[in-house]
Amino acid sequence: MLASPLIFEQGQAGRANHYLPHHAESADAYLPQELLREDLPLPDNTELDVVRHFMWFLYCTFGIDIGFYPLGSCTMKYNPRINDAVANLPGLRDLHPFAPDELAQGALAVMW
Amino acid sequence: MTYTPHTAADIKAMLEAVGAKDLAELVQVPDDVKLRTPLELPAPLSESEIAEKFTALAARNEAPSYASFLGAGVYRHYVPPVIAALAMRGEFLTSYTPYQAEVSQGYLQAIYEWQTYICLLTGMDLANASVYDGATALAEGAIMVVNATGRHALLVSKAVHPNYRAVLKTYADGLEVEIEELDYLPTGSTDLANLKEKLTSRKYAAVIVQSPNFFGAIDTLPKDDLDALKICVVAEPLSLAVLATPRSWGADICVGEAQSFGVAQAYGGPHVGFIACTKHRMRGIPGRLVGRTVDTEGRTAYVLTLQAREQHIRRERATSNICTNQAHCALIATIYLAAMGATGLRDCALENLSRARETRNGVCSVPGVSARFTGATFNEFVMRVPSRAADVLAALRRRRVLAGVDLGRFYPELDDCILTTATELTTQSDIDALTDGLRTVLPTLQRKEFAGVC
Repeated sequence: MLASPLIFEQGQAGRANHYLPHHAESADAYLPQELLREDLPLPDNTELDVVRHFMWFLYCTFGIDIGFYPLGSCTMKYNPRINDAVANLPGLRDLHPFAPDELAQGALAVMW
Repeated sequence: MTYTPHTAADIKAMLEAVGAKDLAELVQVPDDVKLRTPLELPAPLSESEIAEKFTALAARNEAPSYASFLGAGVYRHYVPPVIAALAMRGEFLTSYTPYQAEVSQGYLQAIYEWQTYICLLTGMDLANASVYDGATALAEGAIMVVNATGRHALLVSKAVHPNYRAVLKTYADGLEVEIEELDYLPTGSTDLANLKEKLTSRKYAAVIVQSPNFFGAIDTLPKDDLDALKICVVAEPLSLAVLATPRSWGADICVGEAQSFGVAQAYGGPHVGFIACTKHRMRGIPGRLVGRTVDTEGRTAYVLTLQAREQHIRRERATSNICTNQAHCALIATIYLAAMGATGLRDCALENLSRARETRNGVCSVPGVSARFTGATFNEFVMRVPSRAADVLAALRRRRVLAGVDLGRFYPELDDCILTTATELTTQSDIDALTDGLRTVLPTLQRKEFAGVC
């Protein structure tokens, strides 16, 4: 059985990860009530449960890192990890597209 | 590493297996078009040289080290490291389109969950597996309504992102679809005064608004039925953590950009668009769809479905030509939404509202600065300055503050206005740098007269 429970079928109120400061006030402290939604029906899952959920997906997904896959030209070649490392350098990754040209010289030089 | 790893021994063995003498025998390019001299490219660098070169280039991008209030469709949000820890795994990075469902159940379920998250956030019945970006999503949504109604005209708010409208125009020109724009009000939202009257002509396929719009204002359509379909564009979907869903005011289609959900700004991409709609629009929705079914043994399984809308069909009958999605970015967004959960998203949205309020109060306390529009906003607002926006931005830039986007670039009548954005990553010292900066630079700049204050 490859399918796992959906993320929506897991989780519990109280399993929030609190990556950001908690706000006890509700949105009507900032916006008129008539603009607001009533509820947000998304699950709260602990980070560990999220990791296990997606880890299971990894086990059930074949990729060329695992073996030969004779479909699609993109799978005919290996893309070296240096490419991802470079693309994830904060100076390139965290650059906003409306950054003024003089403050984006590196990205522009790459394109040139 | 080398992109062509075969050794001389590998090549020799393969040539023997196919009975060829040498590689030249396998290449049938006519002599008169064969490349005779090598291309003029620099010699390859070693990997460590590549790392050094790009590290130096990345360091030349100074903008990320400035106090930034840039938004306008691309947002700086906190991305928990758990996302990269999962998303950068090789199984996700190097898997192909899941046509072969048996070996793709993991990715298929992940994308099914992405589709479901988009539906829960927007209030829609179904969503596709993603498209390139918000602008493309809008253009594809427009094609949907034109095909559904047979009407070749659209009413589009001027407060929809200018870049999105430019892409829409490119598609519309090719399809001979006329675009008429709706103006904006002092509230920052769309002028709907003559809407009912315009719609009596029955020539418009849809009315299109963005909410929050390019000015940061919440900008919806009335709930009642119009004689046209309703498309809602959402460029900052974090707002959907607190705002009423587009479905709640009758949107037929909701399109937008999910970059806010854990995807890097990366100077404009790759980002990830979403398209969601009511169930009657299902056969017209473009892009890939992941469906849930059972296999021959009755076990739950996932598969790409309804593929004869665009890919396995004659070109003239295709709903769209996209035939792809942004699977990896959609996966990132899905992990982000799973990790943040309802509580995290609400806290994040409230933090955005709080920081934006602090920023707005701060700048409006500077003599000469005011909010240009009066309506409710989420995490962006427009500030009017008593000089040309471009001059104010340049002066603040010299103080290492990026105060926002010069609206004069897109709206000539707003050349004294700056679109300013605050998120959960905006610090008090960022806000102080902005307000102190304004207080210091404004008296030194040439004043621009303006009528009315807010």
